[in-house]
Parts: sequence; C-alpha cells; structure tokens
Amino acid sequence: MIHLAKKTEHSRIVYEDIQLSSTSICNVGFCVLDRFVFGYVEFDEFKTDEALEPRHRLKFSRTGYDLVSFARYIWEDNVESTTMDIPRRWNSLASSKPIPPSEQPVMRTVSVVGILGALFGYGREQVTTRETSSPNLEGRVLIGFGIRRAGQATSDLMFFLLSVFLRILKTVVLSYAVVATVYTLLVPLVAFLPTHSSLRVGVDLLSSPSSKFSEIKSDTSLHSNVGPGKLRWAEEPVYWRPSPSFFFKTSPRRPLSMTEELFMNKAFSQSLQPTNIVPFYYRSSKSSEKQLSYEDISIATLVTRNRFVVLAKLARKYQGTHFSLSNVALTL
Amino acid sequence: MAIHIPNAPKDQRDAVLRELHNLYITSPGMSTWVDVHLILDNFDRQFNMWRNVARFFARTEFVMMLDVDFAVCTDFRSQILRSPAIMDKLRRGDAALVIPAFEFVDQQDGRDADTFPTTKEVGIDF
Repeated sequence: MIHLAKKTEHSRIVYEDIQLSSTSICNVGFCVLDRFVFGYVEFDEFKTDEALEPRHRLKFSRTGYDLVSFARYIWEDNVESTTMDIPRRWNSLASSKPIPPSEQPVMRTVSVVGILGALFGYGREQVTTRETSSPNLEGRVLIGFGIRRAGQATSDLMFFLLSVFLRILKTVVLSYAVVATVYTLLVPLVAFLPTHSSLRVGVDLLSSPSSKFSEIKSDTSLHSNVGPGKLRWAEEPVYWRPSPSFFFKTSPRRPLSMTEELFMNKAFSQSLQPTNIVPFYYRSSKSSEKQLSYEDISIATLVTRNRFVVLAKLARKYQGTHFSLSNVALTL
Repeated sequence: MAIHIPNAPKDQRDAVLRELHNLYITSPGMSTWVDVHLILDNFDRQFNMWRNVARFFARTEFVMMLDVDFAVCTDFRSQILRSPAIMDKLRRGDAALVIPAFEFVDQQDGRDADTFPTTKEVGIDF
C-alpha cells in the first residue's frame, strides 16, 4: 500500500492523502544500481478528494513485480508503516494542477531516471486499475526516486545477484584500465630490447644434435632432389627455446613448438612476403660431425651465379684451416 | 650459404639448382664446409634479408661478412680465436673487427691466390 503523506520535513517532501485508487494508468520503472534503487512512478490521473475512503489500495494488474510490495520491501527499514519517503534530490514531483512550465526540466530529469530504470532495471510495468477516470481528475503525478536500499534487503536473490554482477563489472573495468595503462607504458621499453639474443635462439636450435635438421637434411644433402615441390619441411614441427627476457623473468623454460613455416614467418617477418626459406638444403659434412666449435667464425658473402667457381675456390682453399663454415648468400 | 633463387620461371630455377648441385658435389670444400639455405621467391636485391638468413642459421657465434672476390691470405681465424683480448671484445657483443685488405693494381697479378702475400711486411712492399 502506498500512502503518500504530504508534509514538509527537513529535506524531504512527502505527499499526504493522495488517493491513488482512481488512477487509471500507471507507468512504473525502476532499477537497482549497487545499493541504490532508482525508479519512477507515473500516474496519469489521480484524485485528492478527501471524501474518498482513505488508504485505498492501489490495484495492480500484475505482469511482474508488485510496486507496493517492492516499495515496502525497499523501504522497510526507512519508512513508517505505509508512508513512502521521497528524498528531494531525486526530484519528487506531485501536482494537483497541470505541471507548470518551470517544473518541466525536473520532470524530464525524472523521466531520464525512469528510462534508465527501464533499460537497466529490474522491471517495467504498465499498471491499470479497473476504475476509469473520475470527475475528480485533477492532474498528473510523476515521481522519480533514488534511495539507498536497506541493509537487510540483500535477502532478495535478484537484488543480491544484480549487486554482485555490478561489482564484478566495476572490478573488471577497473582492472582492464590498470592493465591497459601498464601495458601501454611497457611497450616502448620492450621495443628497445636487443634482438641479438633472439637471433641466437635459432643458432641454439639448429646446432643442437637433436635438431630435426641434423637428422633429416644431412640424409638428403647429396640427393638430387632439386625442385622445391618435393620439399614438405615447412609443415614439420620446430622446437626452440626462447631467450631470457629482460622484463619477464618467468619466460618459459621448456622448448616451444610450432610449424617450420610459422617459425620462418616469425623470424623473417620484416622481409617481403611471400617467401619460401629452406634452411640446410645442403648440410656440410664436417659440421654434422660436431667438429664445429660454437665460438667460431663463419663467413657470409654475396655471390652471383657466374662466380660459383670463385666460391668453390674459397671453400676449398680454406677448408679446415681458416674457416669451419661458409655462409654465402647468392644472388642470380 | 643462403641462396636466393627466383621461384619463376621454373625452368631457370631448376637449372640453377642443378648447377648448384653439381658445384656442391664436385667441390670437396663445398660439401665439407658449406651449409646451403634456399630462399625461393621473386624479390630481387633483398641483400640484407639474404645475409640475415645466412647469419640466422650460422652455427657459429661469430660471422664475417666478406665479398666473394676477396681472398683470405692469412689464418686470422686462429689468431682471433687464440687472442683472449679480441675474444673478450667479441663476447661483449659491442665490437666489430675490421680486417685490412689490399688490391692489386694490375688485375693479372690477382689471378693466382697462391702467390698472394701472407705477411704485412710483404704486403706493404707491393
């Protein structure tokens, strides 16, 4: 039961003796945000006829939630019996006359509260009474409210879940903001990390005896399987161990695995694509015998096709004496 | 050795691969000491990328960039590996060694690498 008592008391405006029994249409919207309940009640018609029986119950044709019991529930600890307190700051507005233009903004604000209540809220109902409009029709009432929910109200499961959901949402948003800020600050620093160590990863990988390259490609090194169409190495798994990171001390210690194709694309991502890299198409026999010292010197050079002979001289002349390995890039 | 071979036309590509194969199996120094990595695409003059492939798959810690027409006269590799001072510089990762080079004025003198000087004194006398 809603009994709107009209009296002015400190910061609250309460309306008294507004009988709602003859209300024809009533729009209700409300929502729960954290520990506050926001909502609005709109009565299209009402009476102030004191001759009416007092304390008429407001009849709802219920489709969902009963406003009366809801209000009692919310304000159980805050109001005395059937009186609904409406804080001034949430724009209570009741008029026995047509709403003056000066109060229109207030009403609009209230409507926004109601729309929010309908959007976010717990329920929205259109309420009708069985009585039609009476000759005592005098105006229109729109009440918006936002009130702190009583501490005991959490027994309602829906309120509780809504409250928990909103808290989680708040926490997630805050966490995301913090993480995004930290990440944004760290990215420029990570970009300055030296890449030398990451290149050595490939060296470790490929020079290890357990590498797939040493097992597979040494066998095929002298076969005449020219023609990359026969090469299916790009689909084989590559195992590699990331180098220690400057920032993230807990980088994984066990080898990562990925396809060779992905590995090549990552390692040479700055190059023009598409490209097809076939490492160790031929593998030198000496290095397969583990005669290579890790701390040794390789030679890298560019050679055109018509300088193949010079390349052969270079490799032959310095075999085992000057160079353990020649790495030559060849352009045609 | 990283080899860039244009992927197309296919005939030319296979011809180069055959030539490379012959070179590899007929030259003892090649099959003994040279790793070959193929780069098959149609982009020319990607010199840095080709160098990076060779460097990436090099199985030694240190790499020397050398023009193929240079002949190495001395065993500087052993000297470097034997020198703690030089090796310390290299291990720190912030040093690069520059190897001195010379050029014959008369191109005919550069035909036979066996006649090249092997000491600084002889080289200065040229």
